[in-house]
Amino acid sequence: MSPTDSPDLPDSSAADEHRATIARDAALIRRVRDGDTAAFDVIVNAYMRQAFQIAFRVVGHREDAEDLVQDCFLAAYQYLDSFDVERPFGPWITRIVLNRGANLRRARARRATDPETDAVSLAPSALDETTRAEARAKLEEVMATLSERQRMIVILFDVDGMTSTEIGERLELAPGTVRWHLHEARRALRSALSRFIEDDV
Amino acid sequence: MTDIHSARNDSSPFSEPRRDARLGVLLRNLLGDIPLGEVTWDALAGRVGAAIRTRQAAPWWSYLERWQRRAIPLALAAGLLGAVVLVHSWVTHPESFQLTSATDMVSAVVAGTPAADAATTFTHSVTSVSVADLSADHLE
Repeated sequence: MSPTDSPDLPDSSAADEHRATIARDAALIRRVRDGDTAAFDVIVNAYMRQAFQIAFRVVGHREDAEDLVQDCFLAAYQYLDSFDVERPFGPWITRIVLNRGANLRRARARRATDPETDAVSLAPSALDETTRAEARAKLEEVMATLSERQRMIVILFDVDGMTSTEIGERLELAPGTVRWHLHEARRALRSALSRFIEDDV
Repeated sequence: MTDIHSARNDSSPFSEPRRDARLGVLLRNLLGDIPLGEVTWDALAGRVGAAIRTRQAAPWWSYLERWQRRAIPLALAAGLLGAVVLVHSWVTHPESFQLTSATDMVSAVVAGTPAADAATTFTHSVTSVSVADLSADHLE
């Protein structure tokens, strides 16, 4: 891991907890490699909520997100031999979800479906339907110009309320890097959506 | 609630940025909240576990089934190509299709030909080296 990519941990207790998690996961993964499938169940239980959260933000639909989580854990199991047990498991499974989710979203976009439709229809809004449809179209247009990392960072920060440190741990990035990506993503979103932001309030 | 204009000044890379509530509300309205409460976690974990155990239990030949659809036309195409090459070779080089084989050698031995002579004939038919060449090499 390069110094710029390592997450800055705020204090020693968090760092200790981080190291303990890595050690616990390393022990579990060694057991899985020795043929103990039940040890992988423990890993799945520890990380499936985190994986689902990312998966939902990528694909925008609960059932698709569940399928994606299942697919990603299966891939993680298949390629477990290539995983470096000295590193945290969370960012690795997150990266798998982001990559496979992005592929899934692109495939769906090619089939000209609307991935956000279901999620949006569940959300109450001050925007009327026409304006919301317009805002959604604009949002999708801007999101398409952002990198997958920037897209995820701005959603995790401004929608899901995570801190830059938490996002950094999740994506294995330094908080400074997270903040820079957040700044870039917000600049693009504010510029494109300013009219809707004013209208919404 | 953070104002959009003041929110533009929240982006120092050295400090935790302020929440942009207006942008957050808009994005949440468009993207929806994560339905963590709607997921049956035990069922999802069970699905993952079952998928892994199914994959583990799959016999090696089950992987061939995935290729079956592509393998059959490929095998047919390869067979057709082989037949074309064979016919082409037969037309252009008919001399290389003389029917000499181990069966000829057995027939020769059964008919009383000395085994050494039968073996020389067979070697010639397989390697296309003449008996004269063989003898010359042997003498040297």
